[in-house]
Amino acid sequence: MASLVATDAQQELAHSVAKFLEAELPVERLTGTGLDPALDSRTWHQMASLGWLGIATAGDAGGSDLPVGDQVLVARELGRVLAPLSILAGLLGARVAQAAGNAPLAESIIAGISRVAIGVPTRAPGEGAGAYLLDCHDAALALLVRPDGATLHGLAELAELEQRDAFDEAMPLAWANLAAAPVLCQVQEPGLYDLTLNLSAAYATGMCEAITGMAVRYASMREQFGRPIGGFQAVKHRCADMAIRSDAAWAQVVFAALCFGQDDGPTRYQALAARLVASAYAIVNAQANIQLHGAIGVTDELVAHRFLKRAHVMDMCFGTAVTHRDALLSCPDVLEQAA
Amino acid sequence: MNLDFSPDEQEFREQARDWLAENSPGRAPPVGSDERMDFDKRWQRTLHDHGWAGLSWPKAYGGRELTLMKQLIWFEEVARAGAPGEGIFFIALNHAGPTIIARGTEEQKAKFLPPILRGETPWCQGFSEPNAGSDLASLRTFGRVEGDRLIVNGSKIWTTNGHQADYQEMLIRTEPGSMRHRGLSWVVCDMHHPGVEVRPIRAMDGDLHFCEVFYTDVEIPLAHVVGGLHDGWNVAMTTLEFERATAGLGERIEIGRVVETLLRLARDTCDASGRPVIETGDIAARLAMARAETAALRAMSYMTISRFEQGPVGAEGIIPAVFGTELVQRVHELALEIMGSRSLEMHTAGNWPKRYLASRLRTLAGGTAEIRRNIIGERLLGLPKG
Repeated sequence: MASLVATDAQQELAHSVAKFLEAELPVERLTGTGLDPALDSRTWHQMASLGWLGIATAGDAGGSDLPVGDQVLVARELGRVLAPLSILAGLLGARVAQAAGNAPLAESIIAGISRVAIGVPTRAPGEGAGAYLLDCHDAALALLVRPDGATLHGLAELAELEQRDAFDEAMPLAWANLAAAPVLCQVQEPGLYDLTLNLSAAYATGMCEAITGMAVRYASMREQFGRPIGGFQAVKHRCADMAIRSDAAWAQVVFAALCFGQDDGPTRYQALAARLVASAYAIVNAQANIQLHGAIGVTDELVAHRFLKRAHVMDMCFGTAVTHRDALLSCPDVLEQAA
Repeated sequence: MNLDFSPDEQEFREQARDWLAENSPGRAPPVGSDERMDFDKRWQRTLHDHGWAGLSWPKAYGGRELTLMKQLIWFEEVARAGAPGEGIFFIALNHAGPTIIARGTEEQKAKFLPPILRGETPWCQGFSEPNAGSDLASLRTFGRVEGDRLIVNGSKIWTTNGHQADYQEMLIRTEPGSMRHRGLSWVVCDMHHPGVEVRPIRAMDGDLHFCEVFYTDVEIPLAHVVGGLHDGWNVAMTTLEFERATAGLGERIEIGRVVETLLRLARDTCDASGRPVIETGDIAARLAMARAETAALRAMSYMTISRFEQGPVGAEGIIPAVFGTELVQRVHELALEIMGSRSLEMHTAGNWPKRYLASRLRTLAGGTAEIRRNIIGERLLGLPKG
């Protein structure tokens, strides 16, 4: 029968991912100033050798083509530690290359040789059409995902990337005129957009959950007026709200993940819904967490601000809440489509 | 993880869909207490006569003993068909009946259960008192044991449908001098009994949602104590367990239908300047979020059921109730704004103003949103008690 609960094997998968991230990429790495935003190549290659960049790609390019239900479990763990978004870009980019028939490029991405930045199309004042390249350290490619498919642009022929100060300093940002960057792969596959929405929603949900854990730990430990602040309803209810949002987001992420592969299924609807709730809730949870921590929450001595910045970044890549809301309102009624 | 329905479940969905298409009244329940009661009784009777009553109840007591998933499928089809909800039988079907099934004697089962399924006896709940609301364990209504009966004195309040119910599931103090959770009993009160006086309380939407009930030397046979004298708290907790599982599932699925109705309304309704309401950015944005959050609420119902299939569910079982009741309120507030100045009138097509007002009760009934957040904070997150 239908079940939204992870199987033992799936829990095992999530656990192994979490264990690696805890050792190699703990969220505390983002504490303090003087941060080097680039993910070092040793860790990157370790992740590649674990096969993470191939989870969305079919076998002949070296991918494992995991069910979407497994993929969201991985993405959720990535979100918990604010792992670089180039991991999501890489595993989606490999899928795009493979679908476009460029198996060597897919292999190169999966093997961790060609790194992929997220392309965020924009029209900055006075600069004409271009794109921000998000998490662009060592990037050979830029991935642009649209509602009807995706493209991979080669960055090699561009002059040196124009670095920008990033709102989220934990990931390097550049700007480029992508018109000058050749399109290496192009696919018309709406399902790719659905997958992107769902994985980014899973990442945001992992953030929601990690933020909740951070808030609860602090509320249990921090004492004022002679007792832990978590005993006060004003604080306790804030934590409860964070848990409620996390639960809602995860349920929807899983539901959407399980709609993939269904004929004429409501995948777009469910993926948009997942992305909208998860993304919005990550922002609200991050804000609440800062408030709950008090003044230390706005300093760089704590990672609370990293969650807030990443939550907004998630809300700005692969479409924005504004475009997602419009798209969701254009979808047909989902209950009419129920089984 | 999977979202696969078995052939059996698919067949059940088709049967439910076909039957509802043919038998649903095809109109909203009438407004007004007596008409609503008659409507609900007729619908429950129809369900019973066609084998659709007591879906969660054991077969031994006239139910269908359906899996949680099939119950969810039923509610999805009810929502799709726009068929009525449980209405005045909510307490009987979701609280009183299941409690008697779990803790009652065979005599109690034989006497009380069949008329519920037949749509003859609406029940009400007698838990809250003027000084025992969220702090239920401070209740004081007392039943003195005298021979084979209890002599009950005191009062209950916020008793939904108390003026229409035939029976009341009641939590009263029966052990003299007992404190808090100890010495309580869960009893069945016949609302037609001498000494029971019901004062309906008019709610802000103009309807008689609930009542204050006074008891003056009301004689209740000890045979109407369910689950043992002085063990009422445990028995009441049994009821709350049922609530976590399935009660409210219907409402949580139905809200998806309400949002779709609002979407059509926003496309078809124009504001004072003649522009379709949907073209207002703020309304469109909130409708989109309502769609997204309604989808999430439905997914949470699937998740809850999945968790129940794996074993006992703790405090996370009330999360969908908190999320859902507040979503219902947001959706009805949005309805009012879509209707615009037409909401100046209480009785409009769709009854949105009344429904909006009624929705304010959703975060109070069955445990306030605040008490539920305490439970989530303390039992699920492990935060200290205040």
